[in-house]
Amino acid sequence: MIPSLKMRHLKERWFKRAGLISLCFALLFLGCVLADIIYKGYPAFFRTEIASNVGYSLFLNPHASYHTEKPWVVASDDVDLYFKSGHKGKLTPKQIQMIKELERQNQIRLSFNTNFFLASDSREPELAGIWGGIIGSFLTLLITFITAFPLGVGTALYLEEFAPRNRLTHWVEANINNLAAVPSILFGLLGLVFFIHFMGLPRPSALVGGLTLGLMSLPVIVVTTRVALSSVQQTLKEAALGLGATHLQVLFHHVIPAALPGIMTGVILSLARALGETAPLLMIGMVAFIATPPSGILDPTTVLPVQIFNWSRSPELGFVENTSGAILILLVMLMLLNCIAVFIRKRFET
Amino acid sequence: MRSLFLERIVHIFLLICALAAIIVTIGIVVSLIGEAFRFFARVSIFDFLFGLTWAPHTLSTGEAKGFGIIPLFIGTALITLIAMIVAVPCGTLVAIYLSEYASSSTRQILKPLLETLAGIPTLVYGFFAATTLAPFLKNFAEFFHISLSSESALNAGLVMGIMILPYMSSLAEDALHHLPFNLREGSMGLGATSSETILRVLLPAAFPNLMAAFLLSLSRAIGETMIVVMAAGLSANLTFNPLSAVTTVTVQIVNLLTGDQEFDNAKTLAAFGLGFVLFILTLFLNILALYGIKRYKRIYG
Repeated sequence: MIPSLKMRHLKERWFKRAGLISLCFALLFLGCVLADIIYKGYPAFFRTEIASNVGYSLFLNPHASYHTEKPWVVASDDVDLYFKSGHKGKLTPKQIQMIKELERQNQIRLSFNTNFFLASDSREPELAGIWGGIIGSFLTLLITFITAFPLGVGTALYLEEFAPRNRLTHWVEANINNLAAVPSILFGLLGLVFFIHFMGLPRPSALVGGLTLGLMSLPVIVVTTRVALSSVQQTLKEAALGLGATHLQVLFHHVIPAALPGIMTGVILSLARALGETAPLLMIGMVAFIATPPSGILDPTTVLPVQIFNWSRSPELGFVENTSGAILILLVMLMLLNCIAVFIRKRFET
Repeated sequence: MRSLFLERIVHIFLLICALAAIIVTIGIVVSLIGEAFRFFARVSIFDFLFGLTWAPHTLSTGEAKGFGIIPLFIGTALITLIAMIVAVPCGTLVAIYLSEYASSSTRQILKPLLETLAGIPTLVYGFFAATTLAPFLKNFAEFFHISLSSESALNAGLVMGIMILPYMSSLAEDALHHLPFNLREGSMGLGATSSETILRVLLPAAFPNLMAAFLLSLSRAIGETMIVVMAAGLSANLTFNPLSAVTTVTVQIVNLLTGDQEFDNAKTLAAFGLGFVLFILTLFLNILALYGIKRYKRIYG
């Protein structure tokens, strides 16, 4: 028995609504996550300062003796938290009275927290910053790029343009596709065994981190590069070959330039993934507390996501806003990378 | 002649690149298997796979005890199940809406948005689960006088489902969108409504690819680390109750390797045993998703 037309149209409407509702639900929840992080994180960009009554600059520099301005000093995290959100924490009633007194006299203020961007990690939430993590992330990604980009693009070129079609190539392809979907934590185990225990590289260094992330990005780069190469039109190659170009000339003068936007997009997106990755770096011992930015690829290094993870485990309340603030910076960096990828795709798309 | 010589050089260089990629694969498997076998020399593989308690410690006699993986498996399965209950229906409906109902301009905005959201580091979701959702769920449960652990499987599973959702719907949307257009035209020409076309024609036609999307999401949920490290606990309870705290394979790998680091310790080696099991499990799912499904693929158009 066929249901009536009215019933069928009713069903149609409800089906469409269900789709719309689930889309709204998904976007709403993701919006909640972002809004929550932003709400918690933006106070990290400001810090509480108190005017100090000791004009010690007078003593330090005799030529500036007319300089009457009092230096502002950074308030402790408890004061900072109370001043921003009214959360009393460990403050005694007397201290709260003093803060209110200072507030009346305009001796306490919120100012932009340059320290958060320019300082390295610290045990004190009000002094901790993300500079060390950013430098570490940069060095690590540099190593990742240097290792994974040539190797990944080379492998893809070989498989797509040179490899004979036989069982071995098939097996290799299957392996690479599989590797692209292997959990990232396993690459951390590989890095631990191979780079640290076998090759004896220094433990929490940008070199080991970058190589491990490079291994992780390699299959993704191979897969995306192959897609980009195979979407180059066959007629382009045939025309070039027909005009007498060698295989190599076809490859370097026509195929690669045509596929370059796709290749670059894939590489940037896989670097973005490597930038946000934490689990494999925990495996290779990058969890240590490091208070100075690294000066080379062999120095002890921390990266931004690991720093966020360490802060999030800290029991001190002041680190919650620092964690959210650092997550915001990480998300902005990822968004920039994504925008660059979209820009390249749109700009060079033919 | 020069060009032929150059061609050979380039050929060899690219071959070396490809070989390096294979060596990486072999390296992973060999290093995992090697360390895993060193572990199984100390703890019998039977005790490991079927033991019911996870409390790794070494007795004074040198015997390693408490390496039963079943509680970790149950924990992983529970959290993954909750995640899939959130992600699969919602993700499929989102994919259907985007592919079939949304106007092309809406789709062009939402599709890249979904892909961007799928790229948010899982650390961010983990932080959200631990600091915002956990207290919220706890208060919510207290309101109904239900006891809810602050490291409950429900919390981690819900957030993991939200994490998987953009990934799942992006893959499913690809599967639906790439179906040939004459399938839709044919069905509608016979008088079917859009929903009937989708349910009776498009979904069966895209089923192998939808299944692949599901399996890839599943393997991602099982291997997911940061959300469970931050939101699920370390207590290895053998329970199916989503309101209690459970732990997963990945949490225990992280826990075993970020503590004291003697490489000859049964506890450290256990991480490789767990990693090996995780590798086999996800490998199986990935192979099924990428190749096993192909057999059922029908060619249209």
